[in-house]
Amino acid sequence: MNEQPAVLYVEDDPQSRKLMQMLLTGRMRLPNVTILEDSEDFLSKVEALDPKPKVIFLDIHMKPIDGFAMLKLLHDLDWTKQTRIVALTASVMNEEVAQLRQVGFNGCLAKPIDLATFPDTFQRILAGETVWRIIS
Amino acid sequence: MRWLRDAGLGFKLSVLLLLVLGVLLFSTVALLISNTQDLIEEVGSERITEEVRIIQRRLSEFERELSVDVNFIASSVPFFQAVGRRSVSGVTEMVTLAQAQLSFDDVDVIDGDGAVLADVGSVGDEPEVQQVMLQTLDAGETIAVVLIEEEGGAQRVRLMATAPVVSATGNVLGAIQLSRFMDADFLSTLFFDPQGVFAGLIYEGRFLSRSTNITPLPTVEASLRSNINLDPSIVERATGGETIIPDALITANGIPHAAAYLPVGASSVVMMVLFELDEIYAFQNTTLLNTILIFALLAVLTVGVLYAVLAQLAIRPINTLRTIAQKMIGGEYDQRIPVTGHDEIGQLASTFNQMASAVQQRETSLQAAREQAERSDQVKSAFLASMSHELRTPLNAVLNFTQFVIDGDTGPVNAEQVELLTEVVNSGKHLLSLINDVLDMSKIEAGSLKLFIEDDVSVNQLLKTVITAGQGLLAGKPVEVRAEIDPNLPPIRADAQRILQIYLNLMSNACKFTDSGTITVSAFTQANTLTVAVADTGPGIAPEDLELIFEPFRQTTAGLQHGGGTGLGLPIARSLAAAHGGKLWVTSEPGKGTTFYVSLPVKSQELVPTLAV
Repeated sequence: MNEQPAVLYVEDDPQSRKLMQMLLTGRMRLPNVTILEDSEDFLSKVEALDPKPKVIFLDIHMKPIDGFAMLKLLHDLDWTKQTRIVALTASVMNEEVAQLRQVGFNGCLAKPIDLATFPDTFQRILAGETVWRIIS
Repeated sequence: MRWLRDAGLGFKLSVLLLLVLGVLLFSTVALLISNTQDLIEEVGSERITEEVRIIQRRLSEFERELSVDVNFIASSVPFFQAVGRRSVSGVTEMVTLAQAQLSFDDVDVIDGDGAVLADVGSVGDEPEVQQVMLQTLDAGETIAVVLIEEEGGAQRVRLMATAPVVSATGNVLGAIQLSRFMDADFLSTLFFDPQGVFAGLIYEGRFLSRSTNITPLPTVEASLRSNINLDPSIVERATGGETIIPDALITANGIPHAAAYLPVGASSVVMMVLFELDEIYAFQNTTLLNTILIFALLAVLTVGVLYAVLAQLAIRPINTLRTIAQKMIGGEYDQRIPVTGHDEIGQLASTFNQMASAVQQRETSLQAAREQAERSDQVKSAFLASMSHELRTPLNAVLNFTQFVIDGDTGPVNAEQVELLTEVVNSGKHLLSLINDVLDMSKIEAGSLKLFIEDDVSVNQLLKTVITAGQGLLAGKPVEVRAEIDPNLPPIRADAQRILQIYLNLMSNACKFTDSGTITVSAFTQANTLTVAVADTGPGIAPEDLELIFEPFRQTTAGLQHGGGTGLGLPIARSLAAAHGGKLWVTSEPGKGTTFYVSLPVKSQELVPTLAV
């Protein structure tokens, strides 16, 4: 952890945003944490980010475009080749998880997230591991 | 007879028709045979009567000729002068001449003293002949007689006429006899048309001679032709001077014969005459053959016509019916049969069409019901997914904000506050597990559980997680977790999350119920099956509860005492194992402990990796 990675989180639920803010910025003290509250002008905001995020957490149930559409947009960008894109969702019924895997997410964290193990999971995601933490 | 059952309708009807025609043919032939039999007998007796009349006339002609001839010679002047002179040479010369011209078989002349003057033809001592000639000498008149005599060991029949030789003055100078032997040649000359007529002379029960046209001559004496034997009673009656023509035909060599027995002169010789009814027989056979041929032709023609008619009336419509029915089997329910008439086939067609309409209607409503069911399944799945999402989102806030407060992220908290807030977190986690279980159970019961199958799931990896989790759950209890796991378990084809869920359930149950002792996790493979066992030293399960624990919402008394749970964990785990083609079962000894087993197929052919599809 020579260099603190930039993190992006897109989430429309204010409580979830506040939680991740407390976790990432407060507890883990990451300097470059961006949290977007909706997907409307998502692409322009992502492009404006500097430095580019190393890890992106996406909520899935969002409007007007959902997590799957956002992933597709991100995959079309050049700089996301090395970016870890992980779903962070409360929709963890099996067929939904299967769908997440099929479209190419690098992992999925289920809500409610586990505070105790999150820092470790985060490091593993950063190291390139695919994490499917569905059962809490 | 199986082939007949499988044969076509046309063939079966043809067979039936042929059978009927066969019976008709049989009765006709039988009738014909019996009729022609009568005809043969009638014609046969007419022919034999005719033949017998001819033969009798010939015989009497012969006898008369003999008498006329013998008197003619006796009254010739040179002859009686020669006899009067007792000139052997003169008499011999004259009778030799006469014999040559009139073809007699034997001529003898004696003088007034009985001495032989001439012996021409059959030469030698013939005592019976001598006796008749001496009678003639004495009586001075003509005698005609049939004699049976011995000649060289065999018997022969002689037809003889004698005459006295009288001088111009009326003195008896001697006697003369002329004879014909009734031999084969003689018998043959009796017939008007020798074709198919045979004759034989019977004396004392056997044949003395036969007509020459009997070839080959039978070897058995008492038989005229082969297979024709004498009827002794008839022969005896004929000997008495009666001409007998029996009604019954005699069959020889397969050919019917008419027979007659007639007396020969005043002797005890009987002539048997056979008439071969070959022509009538052949006529009968020809008629029979013609009848059979006509019947066969008629049968072929009728079968042909019947088949054509049947094909038009029944077989074609039935084939159409079959084709349409097959199309309906293939799912073309809108097919109908053209109804051509109101006969049985027409009625069948319209009934079939009604049935097709009914089937089509049912199929349509079934289809609608199926779609309805699918739609409601989708709605149910969507509802469950939405429920999960909507319950988990607030829990995320409840659990984690509380945890932040407990962990002191928001400032100092005292011990009592930590204790209360920890209760909030624990209750929240319990609520979460309840939500998970209820949703899982709903999916299982709705049949909408879907597995995410991967080809290479490492059970070693999963069990490591399970053991770590178990150690966490046991914090503070004097329980040791032991692992007896084959380090090289094969990767299995499975849904990793669901398998982990099963193992975790077993582990958390073991932790919940075991207050001291050990929990042993073991794993091994045997014949393409990977088995994991979780054994504890807890209180055990009573035998009557062993199956109860797998029923949803049922818990044992011990389970309730140990702080609840939903009672859904084991039923879900068992369903998940079954969904993988595996098994989950338990053995327990109350007071000693419980062991749960999960066995899964290593590479089940039933499971298809989700991403490979």
